[in-house]
Amino acid sequence: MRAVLKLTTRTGVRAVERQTLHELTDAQVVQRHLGGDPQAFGALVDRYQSRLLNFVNRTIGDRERAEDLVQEVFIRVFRHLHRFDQTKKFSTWIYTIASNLAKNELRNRSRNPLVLFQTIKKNWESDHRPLQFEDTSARPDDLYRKRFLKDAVEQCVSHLPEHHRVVFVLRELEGKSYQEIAEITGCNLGTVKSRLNRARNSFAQLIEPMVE
Amino acid sequence: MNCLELRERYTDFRDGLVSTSRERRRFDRHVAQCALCREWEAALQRGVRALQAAHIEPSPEFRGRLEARLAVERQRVAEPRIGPRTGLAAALFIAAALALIAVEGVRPRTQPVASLPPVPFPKPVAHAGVPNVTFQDPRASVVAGNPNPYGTALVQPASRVEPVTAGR
Repeated sequence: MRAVLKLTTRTGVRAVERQTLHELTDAQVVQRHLGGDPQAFGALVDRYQSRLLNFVNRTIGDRERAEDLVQEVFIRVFRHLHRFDQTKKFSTWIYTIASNLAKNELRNRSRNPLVLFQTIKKNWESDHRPLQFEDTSARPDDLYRKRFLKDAVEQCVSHLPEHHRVVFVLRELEGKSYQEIAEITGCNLGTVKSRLNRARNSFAQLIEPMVE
Repeated sequence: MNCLELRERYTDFRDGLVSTSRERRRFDRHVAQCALCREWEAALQRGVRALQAAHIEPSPEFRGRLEARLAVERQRVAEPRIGPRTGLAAALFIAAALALIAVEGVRPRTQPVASLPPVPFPKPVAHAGVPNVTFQDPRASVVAGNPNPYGTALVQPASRVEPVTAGR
């Protein structure tokens, strides 16, 4: 009885701790992790896993590989967090790591055409999945239109040049400021602005005939 | 404003980088009047919204795999592993260092060599006469009229040189 009570209390304390961690800023959670809090790193993973997965997936266009790369991002963050300059923004740092890994992945892929072929094959297979994950309350034509638009926009994004795509995704999907994008991509503000404008123009040009 | 200018400066307008309200009005007026630009912007906005809606979540195994990898990292941090090869290398290094120290302690110190007394540097002698020039090639003496055979020639100032008729 006492053991059960102890376990319940411990679980409750952990839940409260996790809740507290979720209310803290990134910088505070980083401090807690460096101070030895075993729950703190988990809180960082909770915050960033989805966002990074979407960012990397949009950049490289391969979901499974994107998951592997996001895992690698967290491992690198874990290894080097003690060296992170805490005057800087944690989100910019973690996105920079993710962006560099995605860039390396694309570079390796261009050197090894076999990987590209595997990716194409994988994407082809995913295109033929049944619509079991869609919203079943919607009408079939709505589902079709939604699915078509989703595929169309993903295709349009994948057609953008890599350096335009990264800037476009960071701005339109992640809502990053120009300054943050400049820091993540290692470009100056003028380059970010011109790349974003070109990316938006290209994207609009590609998507326009598909959404008419 | 025309369509080209709108597309070139679209990011400025869209992200609020245009500071003057006059510029902003020009942009709005053009979008209101030009059906092509209106459709273009609507398509872009719709595409971006569709992209934002197509949000993916990590697979159920993602967290488990990450936790397993993090556990390995935590263990690595907690117990910095020294492999047998690293240990052997370190032991050899220490042994070599100790041997060097021991040899240095045992070896007899060499006596410093006494420095020689200073000797005056010989003064160069300037010869007043005309210098002799020695040729290594003995065939030089074949030239007719050479008063100094076997490769030795007397070099005279140009003014005193008499014209020599070359021949064998």
